[in-house]
Order: sequence, then C-alpha cells, then structure tokens
Amino acid sequence: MAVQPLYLVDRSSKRVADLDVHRDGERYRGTIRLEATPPSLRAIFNEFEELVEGQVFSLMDEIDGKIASELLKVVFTDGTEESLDDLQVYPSTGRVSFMTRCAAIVTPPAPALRVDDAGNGRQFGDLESVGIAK
Amino acid sequence: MLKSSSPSQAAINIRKALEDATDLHEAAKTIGSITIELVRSVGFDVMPNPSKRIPNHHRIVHPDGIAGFSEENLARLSDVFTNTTGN
Repeated sequence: MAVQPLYLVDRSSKRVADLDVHRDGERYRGTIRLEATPPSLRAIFNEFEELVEGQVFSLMDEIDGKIASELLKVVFTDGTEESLDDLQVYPSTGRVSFMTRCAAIVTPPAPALRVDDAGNGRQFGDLESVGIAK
Repeated sequence: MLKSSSPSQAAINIRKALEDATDLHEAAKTIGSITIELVRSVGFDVMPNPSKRIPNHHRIVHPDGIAGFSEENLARLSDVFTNTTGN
C-alpha cells in the first residue's frame, strides 16, 4: 500500500494540521483540519483564501511567499517528511492541495512589477475585478 | 484581468491555477471581456502584472493614476465590456 500524507508540521516539527488527501497527478488534494494550527499560520491561510476569492491576483506572489516561508513539511504514513510546494489552503471549505518538493515542477519566478516600472508617469489603478464579473 | 484568447480560455486558466477556489470558479462562469484596443479607446491602458501562479494576469491602468478611475471614466470603461456566461 502506498504511503499517504498524514499531517503537516512546522519548522520545529510541531504538528499544525491534519490531512485527508489523495494523489491526483502531480498534486495531492483533499481536506485539511486546522484545529491545531497556530493563529498566525491560520491568518496566512485566511489571507490566501481572501486574496484568491477576491481576485486580488497582484498579491499572489506575496502571499505564496509568506506560505513558503513557513517551511511547512508533510509527514507520511511511513514517517518520512517532504517539503511542500504550491500549498493552497481554503479554511472556509477545508480544501487543500499541494505538491511535494520532489514532485514539483520548478519554474523561474515571474518578474515583479512595481509602480515605478510603469513609466510615463502612469500609476496602477486599483481595479482587480474587471476581468471576471459576477 | 487575464489576457487570453477567449473568455472561456480565461475561465479555464483560472480554474487550473486555483482549482479549489469555489467562489472564484462560480464568478468565472460570467466573464467580462474586452480588447486592449477598446480599453485604450476609453482612456485606460493595460499593463502586464504576472505572478508565478497567473502569468497572464494584467492590470487596467489610467494615465492619471487613481484619479483616472472616476465614476464617469469607469462607466465608459464598463460600457465597452461584453459579458459572456456559461464559461
């Protein structure tokens, strides 16, 4: 029987969330239980969900960086640990998906755009939701 | 906004990038679409704003910055969008 992910641990190996996931291609998908999640980490997951559902895509790299900086790992049924890549947690629905570092596709980071990069005296307006209207 | 070949392709892009975002997926059933030329025709412009997760993300900008996003200008912009449903 293949080993399955059981739970997530933080950088001090403290258990921070329980998983019920299955392998789907290169990702694991399923549900996550956050009862043991520290408030600070829970806040990051909440922020991720709010940005995604609110279509604030300009801040995706920033929130993904926050999640990555937590250095969470997944622990499997056989006791082995692997680093995570592209962890997506939706606290309101309990949905989770992630890749493990060995299965992750490595892509170079996208260039960051800043207001100064716009040139010609232009500034970005704050209009994120135009592309998808309800 | 996403730069894409069609509204349905934009919906596919967003669902693939963020597969568990239920509210977003629901919202993406209706897509407001526009060409860059039309954006420019009403005084706005489009700037690439890629992220690792959504490399075709763009932002609508105005030469006057935030001040350009007045109710009057936004109404003109809204008028040149076309909504498609069922994406």
